[in-house]
Amino acid sequence: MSSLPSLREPSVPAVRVLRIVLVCVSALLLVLAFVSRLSLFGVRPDAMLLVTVLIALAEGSEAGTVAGYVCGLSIDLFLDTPLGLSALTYCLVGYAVGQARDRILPAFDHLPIAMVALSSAVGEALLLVFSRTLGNTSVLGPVHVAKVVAVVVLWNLLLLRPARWLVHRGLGGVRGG
Amino acid sequence: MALPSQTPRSRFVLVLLVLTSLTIIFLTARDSSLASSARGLARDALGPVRTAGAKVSSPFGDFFGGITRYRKVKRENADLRRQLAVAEGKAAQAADAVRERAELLRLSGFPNPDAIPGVDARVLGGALSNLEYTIEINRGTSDGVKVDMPVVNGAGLVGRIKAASGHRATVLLITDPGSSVGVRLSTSGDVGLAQGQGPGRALPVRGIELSTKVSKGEVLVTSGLQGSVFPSGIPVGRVRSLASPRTGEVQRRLTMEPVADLAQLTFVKVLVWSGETGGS
Repeated sequence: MSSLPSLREPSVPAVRVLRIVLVCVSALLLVLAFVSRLSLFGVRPDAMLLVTVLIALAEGSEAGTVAGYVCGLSIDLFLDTPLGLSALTYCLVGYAVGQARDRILPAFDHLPIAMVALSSAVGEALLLVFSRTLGNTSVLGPVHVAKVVAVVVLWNLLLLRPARWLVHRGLGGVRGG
Repeated sequence: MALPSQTPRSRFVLVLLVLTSLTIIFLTARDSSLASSARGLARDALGPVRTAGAKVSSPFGDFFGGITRYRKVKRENADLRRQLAVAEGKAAQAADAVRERAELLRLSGFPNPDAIPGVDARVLGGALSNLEYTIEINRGTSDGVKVDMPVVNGAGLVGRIKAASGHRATVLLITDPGSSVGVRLSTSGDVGLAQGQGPGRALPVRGIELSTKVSKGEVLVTSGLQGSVFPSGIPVGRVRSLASPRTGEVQRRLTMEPVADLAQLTFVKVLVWSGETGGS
């Protein structure tokens, strides 16, 4: 992510989409086996959101949208919240991060880490608010949301290096990244 | 500032996937069996991954937990030895009372929680998100586990079954804000309702009359009132704080902390008990 992304890119080819899906599935397996056992103040990392953000930063908004949808839908299968809720949230985040990458990041060298923190915060907050709107009583008021968001940002920054390794290895060389 | 050439296409993909997500949300909201079937298949198919992860990471968790919490563990060990000595003495005295209680429960037709059959289960891990406070266990409908069955460990109540597939089940912890448990004070017998507030936070208990005598550390057990999904008499928590009553208040403000250590669950027991029928 240290080099700057290209502003003019071709659309994502099918092989690339397949690689993105494989990265998302690998991330899901790691979450199921290990990441779900991590907890700080009762809050868990949102590794699937992190992978979505990293793919969007590496590949752009279209790939970010697809990655968000695949990551979200796959994690939705293991939750008891409305099916499709995480898919909806993550694909919005993937699109927004991809757009931000193309429009804002070229001007700043150190923004990707800030972008990971910001998009993790916005993505987690959106997920909690959407879930609450759809009747999830497990999500309490603004203080609870703020606490969860803050800890998720911390977790995702701690997991940034291994997640970035997974994304870069999985995508087999990142376009513009 | 130049715009990327793929903007219209990526926007089209976004709209398509947002519409697909919304369609799934609305379809599964109308017919939840669709979502349950898909989730059951996914959980059973990838269940071994969670089981393997739990087995691999458990020794590391215990090892690092032991190092980082060495002083606390040592102090707890000394406390537990003292408590064990006291408990052994009390257990001998209580044996007769337990027998009498079991006899009274049998005569009055109430369930005896100690006699309810159970299914032992291993905890595979916590929730995969921060949208709910649950744990997953390695027992499902094929083992007789059904939705709403109570889940306990050696200390007391852990939660209730929220969802079950063939070989896996999700347990909603009593600390989940969406969980409420009917409780009874062990001394006065006054009943109230304990509401979850998230992990690590005490549960406020509502409905206890102002005139009721309550002391810190007093044990609360499940009330088992009609319609409750929990049988009567399972230890739930201990009174943690008591607030001074304000003018005009008619109920006591108190909180309790769970007797079961919900952050360190390894094995639990699903009670084969249904609130409607009182049995399996």
